[in-house]
Amino acid sequence: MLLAGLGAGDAQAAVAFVRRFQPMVFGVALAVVGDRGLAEDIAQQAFERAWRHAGLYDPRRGSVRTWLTRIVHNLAVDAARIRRPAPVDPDELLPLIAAITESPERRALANETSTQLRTALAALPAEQARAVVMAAVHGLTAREIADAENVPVGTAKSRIRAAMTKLHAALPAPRTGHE
Amino acid sequence: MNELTCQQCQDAAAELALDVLPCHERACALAHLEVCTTCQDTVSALTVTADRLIELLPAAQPPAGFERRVISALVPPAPHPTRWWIPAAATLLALALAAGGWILGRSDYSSNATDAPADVGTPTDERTVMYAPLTTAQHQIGNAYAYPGPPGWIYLAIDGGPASNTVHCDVVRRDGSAVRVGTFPLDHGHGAWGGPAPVDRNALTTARLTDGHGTTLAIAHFGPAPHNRPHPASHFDSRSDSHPDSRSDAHPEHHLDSHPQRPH
Repeated sequence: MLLAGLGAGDAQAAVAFVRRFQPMVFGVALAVVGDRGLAEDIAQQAFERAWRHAGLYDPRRGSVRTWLTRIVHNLAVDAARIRRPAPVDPDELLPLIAAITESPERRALANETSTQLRTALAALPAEQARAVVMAAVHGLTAREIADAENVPVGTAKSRIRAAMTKLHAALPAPRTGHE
Repeated sequence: MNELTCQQCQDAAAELALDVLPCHERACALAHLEVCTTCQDTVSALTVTADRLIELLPAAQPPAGFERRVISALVPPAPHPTRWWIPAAATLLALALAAGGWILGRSDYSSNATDAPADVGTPTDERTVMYAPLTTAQHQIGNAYAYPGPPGWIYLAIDGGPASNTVHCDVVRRDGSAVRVGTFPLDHGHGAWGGPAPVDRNALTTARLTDGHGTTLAIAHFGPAPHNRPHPASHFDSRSDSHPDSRSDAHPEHHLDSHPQRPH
């Protein structure tokens, strides 16, 4: 319904949409770029893009939350690439990984899927967790991860692949739905 | 483009799902997916995992004002009225004022017929609406409202006017010049019209209602008479010597200020 209102340019739908998703959208942008001002710009761009392209949303491909997360994440990764030519410092990932995996209040509110995924991520070997977070969150390629970790590209690829395989195995069957 | 085997595609599936595969490798993988449903399923499943991973990122409250800025960008406020709106809005306002004014006029008919022009609104505001009763020699037949510009406008409401089918509205300025600003029909002596007009509070003296022959049917006095017309109250008298446009054969009753209209 929100997306229908969004596509129709409904002002009330816009208010409801922004209020509902702004913490998530801003949080994703902030996690990727690490700068509140830039994250704010990116989050606003994400809402504007979703507003313009609401008609393209396909519920068969995931929830509205997932769709919007993809939008803001792609924008944030693009912005981070422009702003940060140097690879991510692996040490900077530790707080982020901790935030993802160790969040009691989020655990309390989390659904089964996210709980299982957090648990699986926390259980990964540290180098695999860093690799998959660098790739998934910061959009780094295997070569960039290899440079950051001082390992061969093949090793970086293997870590990404191994981590994703384990995380995928921890998830229940894929679901889709509206939000 | 190199063709990938299923094993190579499976190896690249995680990076493809995470959208971090370099361009060339990505193109090769996508080409393979075009023809391999097994690898398609693998990549689709890993894409869901990648999406779920991003959704684990902690939410954060954006800075104050973020919501307002975003909503303003999504749904811009209604545009400010442009100039063409102003006469229309003013006409609506005048309609409401006319209704009230006409009721007042009906309640004190004789005195209103000779009322001095008045401002509707704050008297000290140069842009308040000016009001004057629209009168024949004998009685009031309506109300006139003028609003100093820019853009200026004038509005006439006639009730119980002459039987003329079509009437004109001319504004007369202190220098005696008259400008026709509108033409409108009357239906058995009733009608209303409003439109843009050169209204200058210091220059406007009267609004004149004329018929198709140039005969003045009624007048609303907004301000002092033209310089060469010292007695506006005697306007309906025969005054071939006082009005620049007047005719000497003007009938005091039906040809109150009969004169040919200036070309416009």
